[in-house]
Amino acid sequence: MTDTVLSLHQVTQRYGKLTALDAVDLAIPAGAIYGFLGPNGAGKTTAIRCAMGLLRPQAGRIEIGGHDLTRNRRQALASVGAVIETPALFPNLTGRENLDVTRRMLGIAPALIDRALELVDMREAADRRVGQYSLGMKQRMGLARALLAEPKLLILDEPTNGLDPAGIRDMRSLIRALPERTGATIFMSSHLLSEIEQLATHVGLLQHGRVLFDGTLDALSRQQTPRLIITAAPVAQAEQVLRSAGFADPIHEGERLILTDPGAITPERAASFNAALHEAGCRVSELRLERADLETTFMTLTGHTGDAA
Amino acid sequence: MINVLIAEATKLRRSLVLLVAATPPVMVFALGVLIVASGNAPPEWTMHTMAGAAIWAFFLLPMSVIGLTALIAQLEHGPDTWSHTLALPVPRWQIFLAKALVALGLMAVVSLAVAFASWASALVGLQLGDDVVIAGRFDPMLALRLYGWMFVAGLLVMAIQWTLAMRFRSFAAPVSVGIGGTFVAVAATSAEKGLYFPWLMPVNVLASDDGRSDMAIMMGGIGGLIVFGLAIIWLSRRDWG
Ligand SMILES: Nc1ncnc2c1ncn2[C@@H]1O[C@H](COP(=O)(O)OP(=O)(O)OP(=O)(O)O)[C@@H](O)[C@H]1O
Ligand SMILES: [Mg+2]
Repeated sequence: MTDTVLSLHQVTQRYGKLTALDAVDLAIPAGAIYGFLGPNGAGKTTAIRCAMGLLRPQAGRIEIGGHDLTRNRRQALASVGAVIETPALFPNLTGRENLDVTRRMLGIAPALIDRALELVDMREAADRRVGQYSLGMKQRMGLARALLAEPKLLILDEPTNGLDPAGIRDMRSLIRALPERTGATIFMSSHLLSEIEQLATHVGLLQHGRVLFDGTLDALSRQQTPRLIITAAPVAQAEQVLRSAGFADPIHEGERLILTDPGAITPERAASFNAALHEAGCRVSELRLERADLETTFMTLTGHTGDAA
Repeated sequence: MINVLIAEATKLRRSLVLLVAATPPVMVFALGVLIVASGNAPPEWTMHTMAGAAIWAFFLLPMSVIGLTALIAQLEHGPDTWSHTLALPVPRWQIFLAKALVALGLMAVVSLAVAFASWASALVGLQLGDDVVIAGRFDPMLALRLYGWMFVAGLLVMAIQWTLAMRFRSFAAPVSVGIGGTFVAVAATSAEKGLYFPWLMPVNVLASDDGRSDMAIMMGGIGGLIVFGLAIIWLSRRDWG
């Protein structure tokens, strides 16, 4: 078993009547790029705030690097660097001064500032006031500050939020390279599945404060439901055949019919459909068994099934 | 702890702290020069020193406290850096204590600057005015004593304003309380119960009745330390989400 860098056990956080996190269990293994995925308002930032000791959940336990966050806050947080929501920097200070403020608080060597600036490629802009930075530069500087103390765990809350396409691409390649360059485990939230698909090795899926999935990206792929795509003419007759085989509502997509019943679609079943369609005099030009993409799996897991829109 | 203090002081760089801190001494200086040069000077030095101290205690001290504590707190509220600052593996009480010390340090500097400006304004006014004289000599010890004790008596007001400024994201709460407190102090200066009103404590340092001024210094000073202490504990423990 691999070491767990960060774990949440049955963490519940309420804001008044609203339960933002409902008995959340998460385990972030060392070396992972863990994608924490959930739609807006799912509770991602809340979970991150709990993990940083900024909120004290009403129930549950959080451990970082083997240290209990409640009992050993400082030891636990010593190995964490984070960028929460937008990178909040002091606009009246330069990038370097911002890092220096944090460096002093942490009591670490000044040389680490240049190393962190190097990692995010911000040496040149380091002596300009942060107030003059673009959002992309602020994100990088925030990341540099998070990397300052050579953390074992890097927590990034929607690191590409608000960036333009080029900025998003740059930030993603930067993040992708970090585990190798720094040895840090990365826990990053996002509401974009494609982003997690591109970057992550592990996924946690959160919705309405509940964890719907926690595991490797491969394991999530295996949960993907297969679907059967049929193009046959005349299409009305083909549909008739499928209905009589027990499929009430095939999805129409132009000339195609798509069957998505997860349990029922097997290769054998597909072959027998083919035979039945022939028998009924339909001309079958396409019959294909395909695994749904991650997007569909995500939609299925989060309950947004059968989007007819 | 010293590193945390330096870090907190660094955050003031290129902020408007100089503007806020320079305003009271500049005002005292300008007003003092005008009064002395126009021949309306108090007839002797002790009275001049007391008059400057009264303006400070009544009005400029509480206004400076509002301004400086709001400015220090807005350094974090403005860019919303609390979650970064408070998630650092540093004892939170040290962070808040450092912020309190920065505020107190600035207030001490402004106090001294006002004392100096009051003295300097008379010197300049005497040069500019025709046949103006102030009897006696300037007593620097009296000035230091007055401004020093007013600082101590003002600790409670400083603690109240600092706590409100730290706690609330908007500066509306501390500013309203500060303006209200100052107004009540001006309106109810000599009221019997005024002895217990935080905003009157620095003013009461000037009371001719020694008992009253000693009480003001004691209540303001001890009360201020207690409120600062409790506020630091409370702010360190509360959720910041
Ligand atoms: N300080 C707060 N007080 C009250 N409710 C809050 C607070 N912070 C968050 N919430 C609520 O808790 C829920 C989860 O919010 P959270 O910010 O954690 O979501 P999120 O997954 O980070 O969303 P997003 O993708 O929009 O950033 C939301 O319903 C939100 O309105
Ligand atoms: Mg969020």
